[in-house]
Amino acid sequence: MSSDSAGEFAIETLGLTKRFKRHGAAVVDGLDLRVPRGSVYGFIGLNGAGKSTTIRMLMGLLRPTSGGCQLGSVDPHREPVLARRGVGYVPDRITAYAWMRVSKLVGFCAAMQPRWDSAAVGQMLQRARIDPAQRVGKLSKGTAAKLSLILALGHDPEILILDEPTDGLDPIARDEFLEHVIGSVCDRGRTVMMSSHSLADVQKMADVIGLIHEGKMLLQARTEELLAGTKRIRAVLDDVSLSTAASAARPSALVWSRIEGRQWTLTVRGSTGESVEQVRALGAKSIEVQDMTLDDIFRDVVRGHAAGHLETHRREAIACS
Amino acid sequence: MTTNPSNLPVFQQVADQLRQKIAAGIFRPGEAVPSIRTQATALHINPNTIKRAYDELQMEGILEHRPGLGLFVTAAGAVKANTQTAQVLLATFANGVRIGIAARLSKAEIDSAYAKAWESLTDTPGRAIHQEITP
Repeated sequence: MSSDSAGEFAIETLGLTKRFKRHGAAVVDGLDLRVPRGSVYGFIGLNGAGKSTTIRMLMGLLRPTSGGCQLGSVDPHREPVLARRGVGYVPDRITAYAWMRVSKLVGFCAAMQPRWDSAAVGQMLQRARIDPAQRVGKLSKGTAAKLSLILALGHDPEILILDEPTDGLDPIARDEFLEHVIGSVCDRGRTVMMSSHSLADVQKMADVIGLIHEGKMLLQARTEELLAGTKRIRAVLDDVSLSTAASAARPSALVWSRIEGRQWTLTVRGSTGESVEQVRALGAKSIEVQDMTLDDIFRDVVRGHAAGHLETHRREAIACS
Repeated sequence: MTTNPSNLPVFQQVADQLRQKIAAGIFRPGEAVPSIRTQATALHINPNTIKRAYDELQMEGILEHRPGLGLFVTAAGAVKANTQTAQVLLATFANGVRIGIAARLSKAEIDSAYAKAWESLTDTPGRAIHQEITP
């Protein structure tokens, strides 16, 4: 749902960096992240890539080593209270005392938000079949996740940030959770930023994808553009052209490639047609071009990045010797 | 160009599925199709994506928008959906034939693969079991 204020970002970071040790490696490394207002943003990356650290900085829970971020038009580190009013946060696990009853936890959250809508929260709890008298520690994982989402929506925030929300949920709980999130996007036109390992979900839900790897933004694009513009080329080559392919030929749009027997498999982003021509020019006997899922693209971008790193290291090693 | 149905753009999958449902008479001319919200929440798909699929079907003249009421199957919608589905079918078969040619199968072998696929999906001769395709 595009809003009137098109071109504006609900969440924006500039050179966001976090080091936990003074001279240690950066966990988040100069991250430029832009979440368009009213969009669903899928934040993806391997375990330890820096997703949760980024989200904790956005929520004002961690102080960046350098760089900055804005939520709406508020800096969460300068004006933490104001920032918290405009955003709902679902952490990767519910943070509450196990002995607390649901009603008590709801009251606790309500006290922190001046714009708390008790009636709406009551309705959501009822629809989710959550008993307010239940102790938080006794809730199933799925119910706890739903409760966490309801608590994040209690003050009707403009932005919703979800950190691995469906991790460890059974399929039914996951369905119900995602239905609730999508419903909230449809009805309120909220901006949603969601980190997830479930790339099939992200592919269906997200307008924009951000891929973080080793603390850096490796790729940030509209989902549609990314899926339409990234292709896998499978070419069967003869023995002579195979050795040429392995050594020299590298289409400019190459993301990752692999040789198996006489088959050369290339993942290319952008100028697909040009890459096909380059492969054809090597004397390929057959060429197939395939669409890819987000899952395929994610793997190949990360692998390609790792391969590129190796080459850089090797070049540096040669330069040193 | 080879395309695996699950690798198609999501809006395309949604559009194909709805076309197939209209062609199969699950939604008939003059009847409403599910709202964007209903589809989005049921399938966990971004509402913009559902809208894009619906826009495509409107452009094809299969659906029409009735202000304040929602989207309905047009009078000619079922026939048009059928034509479009036939094209999807052709593309899907073409894909299979291409795999056969790449593996150097003969035309007779490809024909027999089709016959076997038909047999495996029909309980009594000539009656196909409808299979749901979920995007």
